[in-house]
Amino acid sequence: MSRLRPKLLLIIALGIEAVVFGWAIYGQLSRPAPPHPPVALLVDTETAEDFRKLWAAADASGLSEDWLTLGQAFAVYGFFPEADRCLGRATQLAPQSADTLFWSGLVLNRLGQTSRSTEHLTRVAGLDAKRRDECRYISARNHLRGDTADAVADTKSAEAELRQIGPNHLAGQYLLAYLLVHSDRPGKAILILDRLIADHSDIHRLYQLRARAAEYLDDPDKARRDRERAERVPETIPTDAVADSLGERSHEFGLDNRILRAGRLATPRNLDAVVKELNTILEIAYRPRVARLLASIELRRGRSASAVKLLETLIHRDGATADTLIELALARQAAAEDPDKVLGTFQRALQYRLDPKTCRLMIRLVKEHGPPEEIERLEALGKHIEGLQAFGENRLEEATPLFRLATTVAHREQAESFYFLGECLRHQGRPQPAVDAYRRCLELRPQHGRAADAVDRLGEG
Amino acid sequence: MAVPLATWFVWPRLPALGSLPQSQASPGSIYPASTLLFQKQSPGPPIEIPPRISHVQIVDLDGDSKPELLACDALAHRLISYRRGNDDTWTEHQIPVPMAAPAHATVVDIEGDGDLDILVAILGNAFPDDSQVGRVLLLERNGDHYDRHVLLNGTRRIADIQAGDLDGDGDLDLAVAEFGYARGRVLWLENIGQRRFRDHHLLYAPGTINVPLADLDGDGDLDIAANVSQDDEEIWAFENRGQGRFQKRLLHKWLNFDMGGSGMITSDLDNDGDVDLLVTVGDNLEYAYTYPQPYHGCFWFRNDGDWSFKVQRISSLGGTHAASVSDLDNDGDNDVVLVSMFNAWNRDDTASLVWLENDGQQQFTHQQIASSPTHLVTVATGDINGDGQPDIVAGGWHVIPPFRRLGGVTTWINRGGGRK
Repeated sequence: MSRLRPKLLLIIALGIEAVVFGWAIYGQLSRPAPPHPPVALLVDTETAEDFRKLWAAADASGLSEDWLTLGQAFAVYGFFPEADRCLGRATQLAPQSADTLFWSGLVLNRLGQTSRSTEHLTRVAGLDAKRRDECRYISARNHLRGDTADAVADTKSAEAELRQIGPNHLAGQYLLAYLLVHSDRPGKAILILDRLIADHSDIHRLYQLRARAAEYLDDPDKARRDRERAERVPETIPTDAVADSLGERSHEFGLDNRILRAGRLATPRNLDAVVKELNTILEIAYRPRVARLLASIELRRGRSASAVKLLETLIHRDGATADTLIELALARQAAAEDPDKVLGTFQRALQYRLDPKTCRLMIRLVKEHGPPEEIERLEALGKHIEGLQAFGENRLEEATPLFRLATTVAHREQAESFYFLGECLRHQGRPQPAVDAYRRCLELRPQHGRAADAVDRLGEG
Repeated sequence: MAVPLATWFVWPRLPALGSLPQSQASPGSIYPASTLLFQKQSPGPPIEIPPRISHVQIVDLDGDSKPELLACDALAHRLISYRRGNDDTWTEHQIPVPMAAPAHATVVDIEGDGDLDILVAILGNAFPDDSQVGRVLLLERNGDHYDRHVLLNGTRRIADIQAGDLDGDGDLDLAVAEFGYARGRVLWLENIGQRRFRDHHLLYAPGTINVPLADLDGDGDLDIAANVSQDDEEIWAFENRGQGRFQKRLLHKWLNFDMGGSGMITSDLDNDGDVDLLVTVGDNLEYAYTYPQPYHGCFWFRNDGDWSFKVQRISSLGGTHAASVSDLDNDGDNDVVLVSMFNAWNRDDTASLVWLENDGQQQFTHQQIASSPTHLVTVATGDINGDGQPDIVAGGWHVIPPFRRLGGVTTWINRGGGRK
């Protein structure tokens, strides 16, 4: 009996150990595997390697934070179903994490599952006061989208969400006013818009929406005034909350993160290292902004031929823009290329964007190599463009003399210069000189409809 | 000692055999394969860099009774045409006229001199921009070359131009979609002779994409339709009241801010003698990485007369960007071809080109033609090879990843019934 007892105890202990160990092994084996989409086929090697590490971390640690990070990485690279699965796991592990719920709400929004997105975001609004307005705003947009093909915009629920948003959340207040305008309550919308415009007089969308409200209220004069004012205010309201949230995180992962780090390294002392790093990045995956950064560094280092080559490749691969053409022209100038070729590149840049800086650079070049009448034309065009910029920011006192100068010489936009001079004068309450300017515009371009309409409106048609 | 060490070593290497619940799949991504057979061809040179074809059409540009393909290339800033040889080969021709980011080309004899000119809607910048870089460009055909004329400048980005006699004076006027970005308009340009066009304002509407012309109310003159997709998601019509007067009519509005209107065409889809509208929605360009949404697809605006249109969804194809109508299966009714710019491209089998078979009662069955190339933004149908069957041409705009399955101008030659 006494000999049997220790044996029995040993067997029991071993049995318990085996059960516990077996249970632990079962638990470890049955843990969910992170989703494994074919990232290597779809993203660059650097980013794919980052995904592999994030995947391994989530798999090994099983921590909510690691699943969240993997979910975020999937989300910013467009693997939304995989992100949803990771964030679902993260939520299981940390059901009260506002960050996880918020990201889950974003990803469900992108998947078109707006009801579930709103559920998550509503919970975040209760957990995190800082994100409350943003969550309500995205939820309101969710209500307007619905989550089936035949869903009708649920304006009531959207409005209820928006009514809970603070008065300083501009996008939310704008959307509320928008819904009121489009649900037969333009008068109430105008009250909100008046308040918003009083605080944000430089946002054109507010004037545009108020104009729409005025149209619904049969007040065409007020509508026209607001439309015209919208032409003279520069700012807009960022309304793509989900896209912005996803975009903010993109630099935290993969090649984008490496680009960010390379950009931070760029100081005059270590340009060689930065150039090497940027070249490596370009070999991994061609990114236009990296090529542009590299070209600007090469130009700064006096290697203009290299900058020209980089910019020519960039334009071939990514299309020409005003900025890249200006940079190419400057690089060509630095490389002492044919001045006509440089001038041609600047001229092309002007087709893509009216930019006074381009005019100034061209004037400098023409002074050395071109005919004097061309300088006058370019100076006038430059004044016209500066005038447009001042007009677009409602700086009419500055715009008027600029347009006056622009009208003194024949150039490709001279008729427009007269028209905008007329606009400046009209808005400053000087109708007769305005009519004179419009008429000069019409002499140059009889088909200029806006000038003709303005003359008619001022009773001089 | 051995057990803890072995556990320490083996434990993290034990494979995870559990699984997470599947995420709900997008309904507008994959469809049954087409019962019609199509032979895919890429007329241009091999693709080396992601193309940006903004518009493509099938048109007999040179009047030799053989259709060419005409494409707007917003990457290389040019118009290109493709001529088909007798042996299924293509030759590419560039129209050597400088332009900045062409969005749309309309082929029309604007001069009335018997040859075809080209009106080009110039964006000036393919990406969001509110500055005055747009142009209405006329490429006037003169023998074997084109002369360039700017018909309208000082405007924001122009997305579409259509030509027709809008004021009943016998010459061709223009309807213009000034897309802009945050600010834009719908205009009509009155032809006052000698290639001069006076601009008239119709609507203040940023984001106007198309302005097709058609006699929408059946009174014998051309009306203008416009789809707006920026601050508002709306479909407008401008009823022609004669002598250059138009009455604007709001046909439909969506309150979904994210709708993403992408295109509109006119067609008598149900063959009842009046002109209907087909509207596509699916633009997602605000996102760096996109995903098809349940509200994407195609709507049929059935013309019920007296400016009443019944709006009916006929497709939920994710990221739908353009439509074309043709009797693809030669059964006497109109089928619809749709292309997608923003489908779930991370999967290799998601549809970029589908056709909707009409059962004669405007009930449509989706059939998938292609999943490659991806990111298609423009489509046209017509008889490309002269066999009497409508074929398909589409253009790809690759600015958003993934940059696989690339294509510029691609044709699908209709080889008739196969698997049915």
